[in-house]
Amino acid sequence: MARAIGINHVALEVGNVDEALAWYSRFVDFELRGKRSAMAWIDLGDQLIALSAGRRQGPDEGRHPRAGRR
Amino acid sequence: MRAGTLGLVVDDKEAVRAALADAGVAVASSGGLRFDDPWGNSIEIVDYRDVQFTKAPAILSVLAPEGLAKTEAARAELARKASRVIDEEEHPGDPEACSLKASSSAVHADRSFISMLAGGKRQSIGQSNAVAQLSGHAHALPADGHDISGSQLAPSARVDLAVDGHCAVLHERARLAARIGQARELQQLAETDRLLADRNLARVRRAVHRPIIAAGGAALQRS
Repeated sequence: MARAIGINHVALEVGNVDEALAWYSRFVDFELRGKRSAMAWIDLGDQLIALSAGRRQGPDEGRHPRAGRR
Repeated sequence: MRAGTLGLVVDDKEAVRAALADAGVAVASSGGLRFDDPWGNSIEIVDYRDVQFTKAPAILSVLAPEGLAKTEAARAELARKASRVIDEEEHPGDPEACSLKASSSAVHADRSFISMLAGGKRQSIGQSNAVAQLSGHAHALPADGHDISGSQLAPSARVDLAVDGHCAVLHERARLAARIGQARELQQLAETDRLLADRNLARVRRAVHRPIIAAGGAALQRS
């Protein structure tokens, strides 16, 4: 059985990609690897975060781990 | 189904905290830094220096050319993990074997990490530099085989890193030991698991550096 060893990318659903890029760029400096109308990819060197338009679900709730974060 | 929390690693958590506070985003004044973005994504900001998550040296040298050192606690945790990996390989089924050497290994690994996280720019005289071999960025790292002045030598680049002959192999297998005449690979501690499985550094180079080399927008999923 294959062993999970890392994360290549994570996708965040947002309402609007351009608005999300503008919002996050107020707090963190990042390099944009690519962008389309409904998707943007933020470069993290050997990883990436994707921002995907069209979030419909409610806000995340109580999902922060309290232990074992590292 | 709700989206999960994202732990985003940054080089300066407190700078993010200040920026969030200035923008009116509700965040704690100290400790954990968590917030929700306007679309409901729950984000936790984590400082690179505090966590085990470790970038490959050449990648880090691009992201943080000035260097980004792990905290003592984080380095100790990483060193202990590396020692466990080596022990398991050298003494399968014997968890007690060489466990007493973990502390000395941790010391060396700490020093290695200091060197590695300083940007991998150091190498010892007469040694080839595994980081340089791995790097696709000539501007970021010294060319392979170039000697540098003694003042630039990293503490980890010593000839006596293996303090105990009984477990000298630990250092060798973890690339902790930098010995004269050997390729210096100790900066690759963060890649210990990868290198233990595959000594072919050329393959590692291709796997690790392709995304950076290809930076410019084309290859999105090649890492």
